[in-house]
Amino acid sequence: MTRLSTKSPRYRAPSLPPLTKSPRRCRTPKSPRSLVSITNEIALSDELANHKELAIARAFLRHSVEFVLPPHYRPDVTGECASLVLTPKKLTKTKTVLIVKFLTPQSLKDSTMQMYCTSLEPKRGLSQGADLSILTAIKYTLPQAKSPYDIRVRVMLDADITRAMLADFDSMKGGTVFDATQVDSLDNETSERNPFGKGHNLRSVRDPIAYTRATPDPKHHGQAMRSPMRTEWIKSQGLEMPGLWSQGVFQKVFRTSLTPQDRVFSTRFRYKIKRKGGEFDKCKV
Amino acid sequence: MKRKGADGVGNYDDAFSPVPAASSSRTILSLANQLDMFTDHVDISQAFVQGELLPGDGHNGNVYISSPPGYAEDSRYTYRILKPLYGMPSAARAWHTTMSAFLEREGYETVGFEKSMW
Repeated sequence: MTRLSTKSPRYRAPSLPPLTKSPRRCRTPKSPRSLVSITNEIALSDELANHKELAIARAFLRHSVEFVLPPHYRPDVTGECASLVLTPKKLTKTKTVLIVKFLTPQSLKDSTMQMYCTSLEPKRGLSQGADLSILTAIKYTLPQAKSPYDIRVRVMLDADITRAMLADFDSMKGGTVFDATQVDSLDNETSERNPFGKGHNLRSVRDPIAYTRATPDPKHHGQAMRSPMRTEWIKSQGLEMPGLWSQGVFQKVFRTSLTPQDRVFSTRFRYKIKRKGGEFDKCKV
Repeated sequence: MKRKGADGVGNYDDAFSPVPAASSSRTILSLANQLDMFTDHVDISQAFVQGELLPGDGHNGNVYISSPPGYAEDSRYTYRILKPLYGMPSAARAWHTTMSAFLEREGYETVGFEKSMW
């Protein structure tokens, strides 16, 4: 809601390639998407072998990528063991790790493991520490995969949240840990966002990007715009002003028509996350 | 605290808006229960902006605001407020005045000394 400040006035006057080793729950996207660049460094049609794992991890952002893990990685699990790349996480300035969350089998559901870049892969045996190289996982799941497109990475929408997230990923310096759970969502902006059906949603379908129960209300516009939920706030802002216009709250006047006695008061939006029964309802401005 | 009319948005002395005492509300609910009457509640959306500006608001009744950050507007323009806006000191009183006038026209009377109970 718009709030009038009582402070001193500031102013006066294409088709998809078949997956030969596709896990049974993988779905083929309904409509093909064009092969356009997903990041500045890597394109969907690029050869994976030509890129570093960090760039590949970057391409995973906002995508659900399903891997079939080699059995020796989890000897305690019989049968197919599929996981979903959930969060890339920066460990140091140059090393990134993907936090993988298991969806199947049921016994491992919601447990996590780390998927390292080659530089951090355990050196003593492939299964040492049950960690997995990104390239190794891709090679095991889809040996014929050559490009990000083959591993079901799709075009990211040119949304503010996507740009903000990529900027965050790119700015991982000085030991800053990048936690994509704060900006990522399996429910948004990817054709592969929910490959396992509704029963396996990790988040509520009503939750916006990066929403958690502990998410505080932004105190001002700048904080809202720096928030991972900025697209929600921008959307709400866009709804609030037309609503006030339709109520006939304002009348536009030229500043030059004001008298010296007239004062122009600054205003600001108030940002409030509305919840119902503890669950997210809407972002109210 | 600000002195009277210190910011020019409105007169703080005239910003009072009555709210029913808790005991009055409980009395109403008790009566409804005793007389086996139906109780209901409504929420008027954007209530404040449906009121009318009070005469003492602004300079000569004119209140001007700039657009909030995040809403781009031509810098040559500013806005003149025609309805009370959330955040104005007198917004609650303006809504009370507007609602009271409406209820009076409809033939309602206040209950005893409660000025916001009809």
